[in-house]
Order: sequence, then structure tokens, then C-alpha cells
Amino acid sequence: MIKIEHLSKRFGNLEVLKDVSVEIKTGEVISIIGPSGTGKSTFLRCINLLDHPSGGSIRIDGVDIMDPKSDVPKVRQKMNMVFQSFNLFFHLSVMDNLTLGPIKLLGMSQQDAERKSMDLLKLVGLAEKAESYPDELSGGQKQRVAIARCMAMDPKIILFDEPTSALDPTMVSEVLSVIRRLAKDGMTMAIVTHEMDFARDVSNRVFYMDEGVIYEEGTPEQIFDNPQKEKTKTFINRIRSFCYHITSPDYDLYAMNAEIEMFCEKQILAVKTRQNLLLLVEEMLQIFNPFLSSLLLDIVLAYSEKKEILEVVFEYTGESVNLLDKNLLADELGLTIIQGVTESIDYRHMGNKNRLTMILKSA
Amino acid sequence: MRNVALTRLSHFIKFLTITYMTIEIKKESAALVVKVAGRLDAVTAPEYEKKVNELIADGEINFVVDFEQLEYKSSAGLRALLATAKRIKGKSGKILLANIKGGVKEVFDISGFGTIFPMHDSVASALSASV
Amino acid sequence: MLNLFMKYRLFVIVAGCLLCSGFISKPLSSIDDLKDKRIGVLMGSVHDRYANKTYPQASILQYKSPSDLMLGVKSGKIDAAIYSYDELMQLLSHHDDLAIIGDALFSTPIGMGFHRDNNDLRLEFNRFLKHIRSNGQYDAMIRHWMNDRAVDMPEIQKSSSGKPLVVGIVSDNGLPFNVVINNRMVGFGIELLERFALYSGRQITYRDLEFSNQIAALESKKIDMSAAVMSITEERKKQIAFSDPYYDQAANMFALKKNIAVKTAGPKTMQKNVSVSFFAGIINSFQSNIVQENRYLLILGGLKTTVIISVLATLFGTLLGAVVCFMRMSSSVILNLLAKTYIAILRGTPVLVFLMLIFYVVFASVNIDPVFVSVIAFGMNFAAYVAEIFRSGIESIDKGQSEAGIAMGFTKVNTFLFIVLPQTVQRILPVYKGEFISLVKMTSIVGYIAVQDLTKASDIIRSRTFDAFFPLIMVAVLYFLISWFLMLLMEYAERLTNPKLNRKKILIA
Repeated sequence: MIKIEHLSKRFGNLEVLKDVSVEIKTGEVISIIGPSGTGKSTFLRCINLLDHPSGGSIRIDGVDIMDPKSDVPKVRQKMNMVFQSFNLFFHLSVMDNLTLGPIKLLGMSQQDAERKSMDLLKLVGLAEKAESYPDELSGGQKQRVAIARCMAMDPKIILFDEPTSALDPTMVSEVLSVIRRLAKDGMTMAIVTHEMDFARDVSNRVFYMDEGVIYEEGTPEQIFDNPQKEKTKTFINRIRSFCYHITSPDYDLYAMNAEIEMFCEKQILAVKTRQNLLLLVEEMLQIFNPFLSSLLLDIVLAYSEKKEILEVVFEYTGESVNLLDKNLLADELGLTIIQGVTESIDYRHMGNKNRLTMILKSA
Repeated sequence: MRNVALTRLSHFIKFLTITYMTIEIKKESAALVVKVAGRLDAVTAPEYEKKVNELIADGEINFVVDFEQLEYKSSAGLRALLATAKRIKGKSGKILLANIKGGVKEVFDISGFGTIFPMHDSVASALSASV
Repeated sequence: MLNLFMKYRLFVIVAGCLLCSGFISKPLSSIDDLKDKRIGVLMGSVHDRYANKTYPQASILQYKSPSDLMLGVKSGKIDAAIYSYDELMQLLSHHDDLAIIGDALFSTPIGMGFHRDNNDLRLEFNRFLKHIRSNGQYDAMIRHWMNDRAVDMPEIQKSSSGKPLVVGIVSDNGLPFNVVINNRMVGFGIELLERFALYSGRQITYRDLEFSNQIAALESKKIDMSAAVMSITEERKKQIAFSDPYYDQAANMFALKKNIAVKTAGPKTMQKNVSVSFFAGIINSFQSNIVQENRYLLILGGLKTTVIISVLATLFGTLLGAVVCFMRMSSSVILNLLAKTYIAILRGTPVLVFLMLIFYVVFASVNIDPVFVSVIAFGMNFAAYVAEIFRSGIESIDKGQSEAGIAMGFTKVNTFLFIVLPQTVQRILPVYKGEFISLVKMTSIVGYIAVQDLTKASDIIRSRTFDAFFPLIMVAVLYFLISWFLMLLMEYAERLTNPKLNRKKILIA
């Protein structure tokens, strides 16, 4: 139904969308996720030409809407948009908000429009607010009215631009349930959202947008459970990481400690966790000390907010050898301590690097 | 960016104003009380060892080490403690540990050092035990 | 000493002013006493020139109308004033608190003014003058108006068709030449004009202009002829042409009787000065200012004119303002610049100056109704303010609503009409109200281009009754009533456009 090819958009010098090509078929519900500022909303707004693309083409039901001769307002009547800031018409009652489009654009009679609008209001659960004005409604109610307003125009596809981002958590669910209902009834939708669980539930395709393109796409299972690409993974697991490079035995223990402490502060880790982490790192470095003049060591900390797991990876160059091997150690004191603060220790040799992956015991 | 700079600055100031380890000596009738504050890690442990060795050389043989204000101990600290303890034993002296708590206690427990040394809850109790 | 002065400086200043104001002054015994005092004259008149030449040490104050001149003397703002003898005699018969000082200062011939190129009209008038002198009509008129001091107009046939003749007059000049009684112009000058009209087969339209504007009006052909009682001087001949003189007039100095030491015998007072109670005084004022001589008709006429100009100027100004606003908000650099310039000029020029520019310069040599010109000038001025008010209203509506409209499939125009405009109107109505009422009050200056509005009506009445208080208060009250009534209308409109207020009414009802 919608075919987008090589869409690009720049604002001044900033290239927000680089090259987006995608097809949206009738009946699909597509969620668009990704970090802020990666062009998700811009992408959506280009589809109905609220923002004018810098390049590429968009065909809706065969009509090239970027052609100056095509009747864009007419095409828009069959698409509609739900905004983050609701954008209800302030000077009209809820009922009038819903009937304005049908009466003026679709030529419906006042009676028919009102009857249909009333049905829609019942659908979203706001029938008794028909004569209220937008400034008398709560955020969740406003958004539901906005959705009903879109529905009143009998659209073929509805675009949702972060529909729940401006709502406080208590009202998010009422709006999401309306959207779920629409999905169940077979409406084609493209939703930009931060609600991961919802996106997973309701969509049959997920776009992860990053770096100005659709970085990765797939079914919800593919994207949420098994993301392939690095950035997708990072986003899905909301992993935060920290990396420290050690190149010589003259490293500054305290400087490194300071950075590790900062990382811990940012992730709001417990004091105990922090202490254990510092201990782990120090003990490891003591063990590595004799070898630091002949190899490079990278320490990577990765904290998964979702799983609440702190993973510490020690990656070092040199020949394939597990430096934690009992047989190589002078005394087992350090190793004992290390084993005491970690859940697991895993040694792997990958390519030309040795990798020791440890998971810190949770506090 | 600002946060980074501020934290670095605070650490730097801490470094200037607080040494990472301080040792306080108090002569009691029963033993010499050595109060260690701060960190006992790979950087500070040699200093600790040196200090205690000096005291031993001065003729002290009964030690009570007060860990009340010790925040952190790693294997290096444990090794230093062990080395000095061996020395003291060699001179037929005694070494008792007092006020081990928190993270430091855990390190003792994990490493198995918890059973090697007699540990007391307070300096007073350690002193009375050293008689 | 200085401290004392500083402490009581206010008192000192007031005392000084009183001294200077002649409140504590020596009475005048002869004309010479005035050489260093404050003397009032009619602006641009031959008295003006005379006073400036003859009394270089005095302060010469120029007044725009004879009524203001009288008022100046009566209220003590000037010590004395110079005016024409015949008018003065009429004046003194009604006001016994004024008197002439000394003898006539000078005498000049009076003639009708014409545009220098308009020889035909001028010569025709001269022929008419000769005609009435020879058939005794002229002498009869002199007897009637000058000697008998009549106030009634003889019936003169008026032709219903005929060549148009636009004549400039000064409506509050005073008898015997012209004055407004019972809502019509009467006097020697008027009779002269009407007879001329009959003689030459013309239809007269009067233009009531200030004395100082008469010559400019002739030069820009706004009037064909000036019947302001104008002395023929060499100076004026450089700018306009005069008919043969139709009268010789003297000029005299006059002042408040109580300030004069030696009084020249004046005519017997016709009015008795009876001290009245305050309330009776008000009724008296009411009588003389409104009822007598059907003066209320003047007020009604002025009221009608004021309302017409206000309403039409508002309508025109609002429409023009919408256009200018559109230009101001357009993306075209040219339109934007044009609009900005328009707004800056119209807001930066005083309306009076703009009005006169339009009337005398832009529409020079065009015979155009000054009411029409007023509507255009005030409309253009109003438009500049309306444009900015519109713009601020439109920009205050959040863009999101427009986006919602566009996303729904409305064109940009329709989005504006159905979504932005209703809210804009609702928002700007309070400010718009204020500007509208401001405009109504600004129209009080149209007298400058000879429109007889409410303010001018009060001037005319004042020129008859020489009462400062009552006509002014009355007109102020009328302007207030107009504003108040219009304010109520606008508030009604506000209620109509604010749907919520409407709805609340229904709920309560």
C-alpha cells in the first residue's frame, strides 16, 4: 500500500534520514522503535508530507505524492495521524472535533456525521464527553478523542507519532488498549513508540531505526528476542558499557578506579557491587601484572539494566593462554577472591584474542 | 562533560588532601595498637608492611591492628598482613585483629583468611586477650 | 534661604504663574498698555499679521476659530484680542462682560477668494456685485444685517439644478457675516452667496473649513470660492485672486470689561446678567445649548456623521488589515517588506497629519466628499493596527492544530478558515475592541477637512453661546455613550464567538 524508496531528509546541515526504503502492506501493524533523535518521527511525518522529504519517492496506493501535480490533501484524507501532543481543535467540542472532517471534507450530513461520531466515542469509551471541550479532558481522554477523530474519516492507514509519550503512566494503558483494539479490527497502522512491550504485543513487523536508516527489521520475536545487529542488541537490552585500555604496567590504578566509580554512579549500582567490582579488577590486574609489558588488555564493563547483570570482560592479546589457570598462578589468594565475587568465569580464545568473561555476583 | 570534570577534580583533591592510607600508632600497656585507615591495596600494602617492619625492628612484639576505618582490602593487603604476622610470630609475638567489618570482612571470609587470625569486636577486647 | 525656597518651591511657582497670568495685574487704560501683554488673534488673519508687526514685545497667541478666541478672552488665557468690528458689535450686545479698548486699529477691504486661474467665476462674481449695487439690493442687505443687526434670513429662491459651486466658509465666524441658527447658515455673507447662486444659475455646497486652511483649500481646488471674511492683502494676492471688495471692515481690540480702566461706550446689553442657582444654571445651559435655535439638530447631524465615519472606517480598516496581515505573513520577501513598510508608516504618522495629506495632497484637485476621505484615512490607519493584532492572534494558535488539520486532509486555506481563524477571532476580540473605540474618538479631528461631526457641532454651538462648559461636557458624554454602546455590541459579539459561554448558558437555563 505504501512504497517508500530511498527516502532522505535533511534539516539544514543535519541529515536526519539517509536512505530509507520500505514497503508497508495493507493490514500490517508496524512499530518503529529506536533511540531518540534518529529520525523516527521525521520518517512518519514524511509519509504524509507534513515534513517535505529532501529526496526519494513515496507512493501511496500507486500515487506518487511527491509529484507536484498529485492532490495531496485528498490522499491525506485516507491517512490520518495521531500526535504526541494530541492537537485537538480547542475551539470545538469533542463532537465537533470528530464531525468537522467528515462534514467538510467527505460531504457527510450533520446527522450522519454525529451518529457515526457517537459510535466512535462509544468505542473509545468517551460517549459522555461528547459535549465537553478539549481543555476539560485529561491527557488520556484527549488522545482517545484524537484517535476517534482519526477514525471518523474512515482512513486506510493511521500513523501514530509517539502517542503515549506525553501521558503519565496511569493514562498510558487506556490509550494503548484502544490502539490494540484497532489492531485487532485489522486497521493498518504505523506506530512510533517507546513502549516496548506494547510494540511487541501488537505489531507484526518492527523497524529499528538508527543512523538515519532502518537499521534492522523483522518480526517482534526476531527483534526483541534475538536482535542480530550490535546497535539493536544494545538498544533492546539497554546495555550500558564502559571500556578501559591498559597498555603498560605503569597504569594508574586510582585513575582507573575513578572512572569505574563514575560508571557505577551513572548506572546507580549498589555500593557493595561497586566495591566487589573494584576488588575484582584489582585482583585481575595483580595477576596480569607480570605480563602487562608484553600484551594489551581491554577491560569492558557491560551493565544490562533489563537483566540487572554486570558483565566484566577482560580481553587480552598474546598467545592462547588462560592466565587464570591454577597451574600458572603463584598463589591462589587472588583467584580465590575473584571466584568469591563472581557468579561465573568463562575463558574463550577468539581469533587472536583471549577473552575472560565474568559475571559479577548481584548484591 | 561537566560531571566527568567534577568527579576527576574531586578525586584529584581527595588525592592531594587524603593519602589513600594512614597509620596511627598508640602504645597501650598490653600491646601496640596500629590503626589503619583508608585502603590496603596493591599500592598501599608495601607502605604498611614497611611501617610494621620498622615497629618490629624497634622491639615491639604485641600488635593489635584496628581496622575500624579501613574501607578496602585486596589480596595485596592480605599478603602484607600475612607477611608481617609471620615476622611477629618469628619473634614470639602476638598479632590480633579488631573491628573488621563490611566489605573488608567479606574479603577475609572469601579468601579463607577469616580463620587464620584471631578477630575481635573491639580494640579493648583484643587488648585484654593479648595479655 | 535656599532651603526655604526648596521647601516651598511649589507655592513659589504657583504664585509666580498667577502673577504672570495677570491675575494680579494692572487694568488696561489704552491700547498701548497691551504692548507687552498676551494678545489673541485668529490664525492666518490680517489681525495676526498686524499684531505681530505692531506689538513685537507682546505674546501673540493664534487661535484656530473665532469661538476659541472668545473663549480665550473670557477665561483669562489672553489679556485682549483683535477681531473685526462688525462681529464684535454683535458679540458685545450679547456679552456685557466684554468691551472694546480704544479706537479702530485699521480697516481693510473684504473680498471673495478664488483660485488664480479661475477668472470666469471671479469676473462673474464681480458682475453680480455690480448688479446688486446698482439695483439697491446691496444697500438693503447692508441695512438689514449691519445696521439693524438682524438675525433672520430672507427667503431666496434656490435652483434645484445648476452648476455646482463649492464655497468655503467659516461656520462660527459670527454675525453679521455668517453663523448657524436653527441648524442653518444665516448672515450677510450667506445672503450674498445665495443671491449669487441664483444669479449665476448654480447650486452651492458649503465646506466648513478653518480660516487658516481656506487659502490652501482654494489652491488645491477643494473649494471654488472662499467666503471666509478675508481681507484683501498684497501677500494673499500672491497665492489667490480676489473679487472686487464687497465690504470694508475695521478691526478692534477687545478685552474683559473688568480689566479695562476706561470703557468705550458699547451698545446696550440685551441680556441681563442674573445670578442663578447652580441647578437653574444647568437648566439654563441646557436650554441655550440644546433647545434654543434647534441646536440639538446640529448635534444629531454630527452624531450621525461620527457614527458613519467610525463604522465605515472600521469595516474598511478590518478588511484592509486582513490583506496586510496576509502579506506580512507570506513567504514572499517583497510582500513581506511592503507590508512591514505600510505598517511602520501608518503607525508612525499622526492620524491628523495623514488625514490632511490624503485630503490636500493625494486627492488635490479632485472634488471628493471629505467624509469619503475620512473613511479612507482612518481605515488605512486602523488597518495597520489590525494587521498586527491579527498576526499576533494567528501566531498564538499552536502549530500542532494546523498540523492536525493538514494531516486530516484539509488544504492550507481550509485549515486556516476552519481551525485557526475562529480561535484567532476569539483571542483578538478584546484588543480589537479597544482599537475600535480608539478610532471612534480619533474621528473627532475630521473637522480639519470640513466634515461636520460631533466635535464640530459642539464648536458651532460654542460659537453662538460662548459657553465653554456645557457643549464640551455634552459632547464628551455623547462620545462616551457611543463608545459604551459599541463596547456592549462587541461584548455581545465576544459571547457569540466563545462557544463555551454560550453552552454554559444552555446548561444553566
